[in-house]
Amino acid sequence: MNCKKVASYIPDYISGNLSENRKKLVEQHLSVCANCQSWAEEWRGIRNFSAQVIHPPADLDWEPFDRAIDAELERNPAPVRRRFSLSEVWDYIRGELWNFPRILPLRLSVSVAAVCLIIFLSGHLDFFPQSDQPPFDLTLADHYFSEQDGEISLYAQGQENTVFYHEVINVTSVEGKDYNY
Amino acid sequence: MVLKSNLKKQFSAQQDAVEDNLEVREQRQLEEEKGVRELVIRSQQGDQEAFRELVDIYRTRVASIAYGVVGNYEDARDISQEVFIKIYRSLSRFDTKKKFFTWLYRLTVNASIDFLRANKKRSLHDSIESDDSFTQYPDKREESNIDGWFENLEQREIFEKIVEYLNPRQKMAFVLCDLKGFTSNEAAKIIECPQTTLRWYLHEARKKIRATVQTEYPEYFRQGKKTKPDD
Ligand SMILES: [Zn+2]
Repeated sequence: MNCKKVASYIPDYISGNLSENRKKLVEQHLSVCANCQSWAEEWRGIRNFSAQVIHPPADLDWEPFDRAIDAELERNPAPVRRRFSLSEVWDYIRGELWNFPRILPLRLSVSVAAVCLIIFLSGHLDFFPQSDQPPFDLTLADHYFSEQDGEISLYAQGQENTVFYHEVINVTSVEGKDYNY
Repeated sequence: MVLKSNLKKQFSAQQDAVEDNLEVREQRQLEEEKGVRELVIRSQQGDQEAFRELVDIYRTRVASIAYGVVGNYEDARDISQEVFIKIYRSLSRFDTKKKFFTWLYRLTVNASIDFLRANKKRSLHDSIESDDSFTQYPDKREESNIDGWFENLEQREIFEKIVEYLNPRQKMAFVLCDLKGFTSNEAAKIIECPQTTLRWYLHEARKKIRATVQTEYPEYFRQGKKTKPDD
């Protein structure tokens, strides 16, 4: 692993969100690279500092909060119960839909209309949008790979817009080669 | 309340843990979820005590996530209040097969971003000025606490500076993944975006933070020693 790649793994390494495999690789690199070690220390500092700052201080006055919750509990002694379960509602709707046109010709014409509507819609709606296609010439963009287990994402930042191109590929097939930088 | 104290212990342990083993954390989260699910079910059946326990467990966590976005403890507390009331009112519709915290934090994220939109004009300075817990100084604070008060104010300013160039989504990703320790999968569910988008927010957030720290506070966070940039 090169320094740039290790640097991008450092935050996840510090918060314990790396897979065992990758963690070992990072640790191997850290043991021999002072630069990355120092970045890891710095990120740890930033993280601990920030985590402490966002934590509400012990003397924050929670009284208005408690009052509001008390008032709410008093106003609504019990949360409104759900009358039907979703599956019951669905069964009901399905039953009604089927039973509604009780006269056979009417039932047939409703079915035909529904089929026509579906055919019409499928021509006009993009049911399977090809959002994973690179929308512009990626060779013009500033590239960035992020690897997660089993998948690779290419983030591309152009002049005007930011897009990402995501493809699930077999990571082991590219192990050892560095396409990133 | 054995359940309550156990849960609290687990939660604060998670909050304090700096480096954490992923499997250990997952195991602990599973245990937490079991206890929380029970509380949610009891709350749905109208047990107010159970709901109060949920509030106790989660309120500082909700407030700290909100603080990460809005930068003011009082506002963060008010946002948490709004979130818990919303939770209470729609509790009956919550599907207990799902994770409670995902729902809770999603509402938190949305409420915080809505708050930012509604209060766009307010700068950090205004928000620190209007933060009661700080304007009450010196009446409510003891003499011995003055140093702590200034240190805290300074730290908040530094934090605001580090996240200054992040947009709300990037801040959210940073807070959830790096400060609260959620995996990118969990954070993506909370923010309701694809995991790749979340990774992108996170990547941008970290890049910006690193750049800011390198120019503004080059030695401040190194090797755990906190030397002030001006000294
Ligand atoms: Zn290195």
